[in-house]
Amino acid sequence: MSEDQSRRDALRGALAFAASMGAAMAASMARPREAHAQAAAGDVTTLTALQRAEYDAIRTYSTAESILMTDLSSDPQASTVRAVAAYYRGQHEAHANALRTAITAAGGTPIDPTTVFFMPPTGFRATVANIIKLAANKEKAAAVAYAEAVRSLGTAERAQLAAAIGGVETQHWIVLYLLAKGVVQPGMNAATMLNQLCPQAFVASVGTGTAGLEAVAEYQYAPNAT
Amino acid sequence: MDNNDKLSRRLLLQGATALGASATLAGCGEDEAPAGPNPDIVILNRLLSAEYTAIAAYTAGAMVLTSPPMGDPLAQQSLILRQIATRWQAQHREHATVLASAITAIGGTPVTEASVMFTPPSGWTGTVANVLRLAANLERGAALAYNDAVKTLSSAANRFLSANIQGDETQHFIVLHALLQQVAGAGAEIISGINDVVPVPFVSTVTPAPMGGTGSGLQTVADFTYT
Repeated sequence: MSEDQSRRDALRGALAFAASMGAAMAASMARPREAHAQAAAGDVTTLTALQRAEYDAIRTYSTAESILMTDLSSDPQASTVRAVAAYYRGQHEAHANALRTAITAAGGTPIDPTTVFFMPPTGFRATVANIIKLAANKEKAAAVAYAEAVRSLGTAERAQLAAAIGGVETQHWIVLYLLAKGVVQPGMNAATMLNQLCPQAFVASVGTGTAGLEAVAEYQYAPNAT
Repeated sequence: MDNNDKLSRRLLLQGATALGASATLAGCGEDEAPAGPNPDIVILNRLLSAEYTAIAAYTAGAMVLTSPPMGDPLAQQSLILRQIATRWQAQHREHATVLASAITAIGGTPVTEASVMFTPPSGWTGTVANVLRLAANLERGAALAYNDAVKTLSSAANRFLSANIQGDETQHFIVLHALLQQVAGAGAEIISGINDVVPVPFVSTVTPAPMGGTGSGLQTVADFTYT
């Protein structure tokens, strides 16, 4: 074989090899894009499920407030429980808004809140005690759902959002749980400082206009017991 | 074949190999094992240190609650508070156990409890109220640290672990905060309900359960039934 022929053969072989590697590279670059698109779609599914749960919570609290203001208004606990319901509802609205932003950013379509309706459990009888229990059950389920969502969400940012909201559902839950069990009762400042039953709507700020526990001042220590 | 041919062939092959290597690297996703030590090790060890700090702080607090100073207006509540503090300390120990396991699983060395020293903050004196304030500050700090960790941890499993523990710290915080702000106080069932004051150490059940612990999450707390 002449030198020219062997050089041409070597060049032809190398070009063919490079072409095949180029094709493989193009395919493998497409795989991450596909994978990322699939991950975003999966996250949209998770986030919209969480958003639906938030609207359910909002509807539940809103219905509870109406009943507490009317049918149950003579119950001595009604006004305090209604104030807690209204306050927690406001925080769930903030959660729903943050989720809407995240869903849109992930390329999804947020839930239309008018499509979510409150359905009381079968046989549910509206009393103050049952309203607290219903809210507690829903907050517990939401807290677990958010923790599990962190496990499956594809980006750290979305996972942090889920954790920042989930850590507020846990606060809502423990307050309602202990109230329902009679382990705690409203304190002397309950009427004027109700927002301290969960001072922020997120564990940590998740974006412009949101605040978390970093905005809650550290306690200072008193020099003596009095 | 002369030396120029050999060089040409070698250069062509090197170029093809470089193309192949870059094709492999293009497939990297978020959870692929990084080169070098796993970056989650440092973050998890920081959280583990915080848990050991909390455990030591609760030990210090329990000593004050066991023997509050003369004239402490909250002295009557100190026994109940000490029982709650002891339970919460056990929950922090479960957090530490799962964190240490997670660190070991990714090839790291967990910090030791003995390496973490608790020093009361400057100006802190041992009163019942100050114990509650100290605990509230630590729990709030822990909740924020765990949430920040969710944002920075590289693996979804470790992010879940962080969120799972965060939700326990937030419960600890809000109970203390509500007591300190006097928006909630002891109810009629406080004595029989001590184990209900943050009943489980995790938001979602951890399996297998950590050694010496339950791994229990909120799924193990029965739903209320309606009367």
